[in-house]
Amino acid sequence: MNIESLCTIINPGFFTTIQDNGRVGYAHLGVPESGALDIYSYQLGNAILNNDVTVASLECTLIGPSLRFNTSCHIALTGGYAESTVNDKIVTFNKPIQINKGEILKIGRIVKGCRVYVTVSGGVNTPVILGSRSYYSPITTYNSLKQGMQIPIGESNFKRELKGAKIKVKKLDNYDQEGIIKIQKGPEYKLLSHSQKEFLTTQIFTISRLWNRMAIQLEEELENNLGSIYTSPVLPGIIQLTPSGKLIILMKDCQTTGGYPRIAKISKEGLLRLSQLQQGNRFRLSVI
Amino acid sequence: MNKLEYEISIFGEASLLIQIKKEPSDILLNWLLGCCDHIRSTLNIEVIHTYNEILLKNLPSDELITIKNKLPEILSSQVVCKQVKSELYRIPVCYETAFAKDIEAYSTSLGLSISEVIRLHTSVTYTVYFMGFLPGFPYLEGLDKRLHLPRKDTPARKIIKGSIAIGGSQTGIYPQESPGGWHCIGQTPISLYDSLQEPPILLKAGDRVVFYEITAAAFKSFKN
Repeated sequence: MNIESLCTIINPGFFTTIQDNGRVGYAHLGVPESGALDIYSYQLGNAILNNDVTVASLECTLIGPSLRFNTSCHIALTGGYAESTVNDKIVTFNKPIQINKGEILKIGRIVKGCRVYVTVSGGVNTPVILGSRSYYSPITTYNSLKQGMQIPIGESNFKRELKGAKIKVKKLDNYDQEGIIKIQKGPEYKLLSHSQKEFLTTQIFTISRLWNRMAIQLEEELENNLGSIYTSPVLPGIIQLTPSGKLIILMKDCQTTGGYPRIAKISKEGLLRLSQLQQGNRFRLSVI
Repeated sequence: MNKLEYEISIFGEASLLIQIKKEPSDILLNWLLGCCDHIRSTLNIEVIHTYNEILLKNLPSDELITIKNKLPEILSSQVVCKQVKSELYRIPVCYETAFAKDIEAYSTSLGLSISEVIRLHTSVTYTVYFMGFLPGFPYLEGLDKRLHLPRKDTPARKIIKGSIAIGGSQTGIYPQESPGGWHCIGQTPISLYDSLQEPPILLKAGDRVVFYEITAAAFKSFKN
């Protein structure tokens, strides 16, 4: 390994992981999907740098990391927003940023959304385990970046002549407004009573303190006597209803099977929005 | 298994769910495994099954309806009824209290002696019905009715790797350390998961498992 093609983690931030498109083909062995939560911002970063679509990036949560690049390269910052600097100069999101050997990238507190993606030209080149570089312990040794880690970087495809190319960025901000998230009915939706169904679409929901890459639990509860079901397949985006009335939205690191009724499934677009929401944020649900 | 009743529904933007109206059994499992294999090989997509459901994952959204319409033909193919290949694994378990933190309380709750629990647990050939919960966690069917006990009200924060546990009518093996609500009645020195192997997971759905008792000394020699 060329020692120069590395970046060093000076400070890992609050919770920074390596993510790509996730693990495909291992769910029947109980292996979670994983992968970038805000898959749009992840793909945007790779598009900006002309990376292969499978290349891995850093997913930063709440407070970003500080990194020193031991090689010259280009990076792109996408997703939410955090004031970020390269050698103390503020840099712009959603554009290629040139980094010279030895420069330090600092990503601050995330003030818009809760996740920022750092894409490097050539991508983060950690070992592929079960078809993906996405962190998920114990499939990967670590579950988040640690201070002092050396992260290898792949070979760049970025070309100067692409600099003028324009990429249109979809506006997904206003993350913390009480927006509407679309859902589809789940297999056990039909077991809900009329008033329980009404609750789902009239209530304003709040993200509780239990939110991570595995699941988001909501503050509001829905009284029910559905009990549990046979352990059944589940997917990221499914809303489970526990016997005690808790509503749990499964995210990318969720298990492959579960025993709680699957009352609904968040739409693809809704999942992108949810992946930028944090504790205390509110939203409504509407059935497609 | 010809008159199997099932329902296929569109589940989200990219998956299809097949729900079979039948109680879990070895015959149903064989059919489920045959279907999953056949769907994988004809459509080249990701499929998982549980007790009586099959999920087709990450499908291109513009092909959902086409694939849904193709499924009845695939499911009715004779290929899915062939006997699925399975291996028999003999798995050593140490049931001594140092390796089985719940075995005393569990036996008391059931009104059985510890040796009776061990005898019943080791006298059955279990079937790996599917994997879920954790990478490589096998849902084993066949637990003697006398060993059924509802899972704990409050899950334990830490169940160690290799623990053999019972929850309700199910028994399983924890392939890694994890929180969990099942009663730990023993531990195996065998590793069920190794990401550097292909396949990374020792067991597969359809395999058979028999547990046999080993001493603490034998457990340690296995580890070395």
